[in-house]
Amino acid sequence: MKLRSFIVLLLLVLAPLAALAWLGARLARHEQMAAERHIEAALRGRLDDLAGQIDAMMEDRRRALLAALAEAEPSPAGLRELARKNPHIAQGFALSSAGQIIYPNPADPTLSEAEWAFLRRAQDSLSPGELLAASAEELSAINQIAGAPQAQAQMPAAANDPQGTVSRRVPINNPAQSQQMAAPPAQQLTQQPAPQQMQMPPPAQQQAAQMPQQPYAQSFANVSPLELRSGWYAWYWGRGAHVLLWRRDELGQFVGVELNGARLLADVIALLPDSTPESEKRINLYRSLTDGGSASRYYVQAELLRLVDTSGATLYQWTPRGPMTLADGSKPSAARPLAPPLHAWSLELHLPPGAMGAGLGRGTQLALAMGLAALALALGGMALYLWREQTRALREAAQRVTFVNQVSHELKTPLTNIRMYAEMMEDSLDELAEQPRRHLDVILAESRRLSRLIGNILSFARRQRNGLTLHPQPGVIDETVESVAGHFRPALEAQNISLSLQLGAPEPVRFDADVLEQILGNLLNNVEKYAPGAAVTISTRCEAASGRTIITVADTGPGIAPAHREKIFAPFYRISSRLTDGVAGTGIGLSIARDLARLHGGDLRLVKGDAGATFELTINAETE
Amino acid sequence: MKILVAEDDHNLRRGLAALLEREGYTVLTAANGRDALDVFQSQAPEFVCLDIMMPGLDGYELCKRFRKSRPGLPIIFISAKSEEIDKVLGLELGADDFITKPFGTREVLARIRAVTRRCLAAREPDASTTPFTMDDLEIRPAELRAMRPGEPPIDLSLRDVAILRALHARRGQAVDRATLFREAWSLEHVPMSRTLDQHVSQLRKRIERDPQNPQVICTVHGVGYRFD
Repeated sequence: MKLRSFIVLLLLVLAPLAALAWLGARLARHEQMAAERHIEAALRGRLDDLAGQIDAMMEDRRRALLAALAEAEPSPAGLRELARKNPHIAQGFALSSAGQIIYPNPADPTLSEAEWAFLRRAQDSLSPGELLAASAEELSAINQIAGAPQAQAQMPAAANDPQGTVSRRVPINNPAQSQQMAAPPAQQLTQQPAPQQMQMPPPAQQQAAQMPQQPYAQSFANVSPLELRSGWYAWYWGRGAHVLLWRRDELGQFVGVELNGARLLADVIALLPDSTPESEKRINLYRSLTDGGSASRYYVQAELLRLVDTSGATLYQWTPRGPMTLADGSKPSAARPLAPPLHAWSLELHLPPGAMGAGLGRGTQLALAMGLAALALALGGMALYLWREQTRALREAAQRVTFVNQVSHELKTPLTNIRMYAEMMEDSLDELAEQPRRHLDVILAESRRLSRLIGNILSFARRQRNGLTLHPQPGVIDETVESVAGHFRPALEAQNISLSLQLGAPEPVRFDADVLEQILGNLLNNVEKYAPGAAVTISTRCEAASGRTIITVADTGPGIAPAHREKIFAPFYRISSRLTDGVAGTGIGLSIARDLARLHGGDLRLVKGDAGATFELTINAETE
Repeated sequence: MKILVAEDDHNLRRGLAALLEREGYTVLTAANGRDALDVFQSQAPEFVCLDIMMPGLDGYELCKRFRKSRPGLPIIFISAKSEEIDKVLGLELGADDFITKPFGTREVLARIRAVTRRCLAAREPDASTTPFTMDDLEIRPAELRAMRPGEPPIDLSLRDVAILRALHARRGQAVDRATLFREAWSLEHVPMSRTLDQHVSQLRKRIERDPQNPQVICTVHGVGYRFD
């Protein structure tokens, strides 16, 4: 099979496969990216759901605490009692409309250590302006978070202050305002003037009726700070975040509570997944709500949920399937800050390394691989079929040549016997009557003719597979011509063809005598068949300058029409005419003769076709 | 000279045997490779003609074994395989010549004589290889040729040389048929055939200036032949 055809066939198979593989890879990549986005959205949805539950819990807490504040006795004693009874409250406080701290009053000598600690950590926060401003900012942040879940509160980490003397109110959207404030001298807190008496706020029921029924953020959208009646206040002090809830009465007095941080954290953690049966149910519920596609199910089992503060410290973490170790500096697959006042905390979801990519689009990849394999098989099968079809013709031709070769080969031994026994008979019989001798001559002539035919067929077969070779030996061309003429003379005379020789190449040269015999034999064979009664002359001459020998075979037969003069050298071509029809022949004699002449460095041409045919044979014969 | 002909076609084997016997060779035949090996080992021929495609051991294998046993043995392949590779392989295995079928008798005899000359030339000179002269003809036994001044050499067979040597050794004497058969055919009895006469007739055609008036081999009617 030619190299070019093989390359074309290879390209026919590989090019579409390569194109499809490239398209498939792009498709798989797009699918993977889409799956990753879907997973991210699912993870964010999961976090949103958790954050929503926490928000709902905080709203309930706000309502309950505001109701409790409304019901409590509006006095320090009442606030103490409220804090004592309510586990969600760490400390109560009251401010006058002018901003003076009514409770816990620094001038009160009966303050407990806890109340003093509250004063230390909240001293910068306990002012109407601070509380109102912070709440307004928080409202804005809540609206932002509700509208943009990805936005996180920019909360610089608090300084590590083991003594708790640094009080820091952390603004939500203005990190530049977060400053490390100087610790005021502790004794300042004790020099407060005598507290004013708290004025009675409106009845609790009226206050409760005035409480906004809507969620916190929506209630105070587009409300100016001065109109706020309650609010959260969060600040970072020491190692943790602290949260205040305040309410303001018609007189402008502020009363509120600080939430118990540990209890608050426990309440938030209680809403997060754990390994209890109740939690599993909750997990399945929110997964079914947030998982929009099958891709996410691959990763649900391997996630890690964390609650972290602004410093990245883990407050709580949970994995559904055994422990999972995070590499240092690993980023969460999804993160969401909680809404104010808990915006110091964030929820994070982590997936194991490589989990995001593992199995993504696995179904598509498998389908793609199977499709490519099927296409490769189909294309390969088609290529194989085409190759076999193309080579079949060659195989059949080779088989025909092989058959011809085999047949010719098998003919040689019997032909050898015929010729050998005939020659031995000729040699052993001194005197033979004319007829027996003629019979014997026919046997010999026909055996030689059969030999030539077999020789031609074998030469043709060798030419088909480029197997013709030359074997020059020293010899005299005239002697070879004489030998051939001697062999053909009886057969030519039987056709009344006179043969004459004009020899002019007597010098020893190197040439392939067998090849020359075969060429001359084919030419004289044609004379015998097609020019009965004619005269044929074989002449030889040497051209010393070119080193060529020219042998001419000229007969006076019917000649060859111009239309056939070049075609007669084509394999299997035979002139069909009144003169030639019925004459036996294979049509390969002249074709073989020309090929052998050219193999010998010369050529065979028909130089004259009118009033007979003259063939000119030239061969290169080196002088010995 | 004993010559082994290994050829599986029996007609060709018999024909070659007849041809070579006429030449003066003592012919041993074998129809397959195994038989050829047995004859070689038992009768030690001095010349071997091998066909290639034979049952049992083929000609190539036989050639290798013969060469290994007797490196100087003349070997000729006679085969229908005519591809160049076949000839090259045969010659590379050590054959002295490769004759392809179909061939004429003269061709095969000429090639066998050529190889025989090389074989004889390699022998130590003795009386059997000493040239001798008959009339103006110089007989060179080692070359299987007869030379006449100014003329091309005349190829002779072993039998031809034996006949001429027998006549030369008894110059002027009539040599009877029995003697000639014994010395040229190695036969102790005279067969009832014209074998000798036909052979002499053919020999005369080659060496006599005028075969009808022979000067070298003269007929002695009723006895045999004589060289004067």
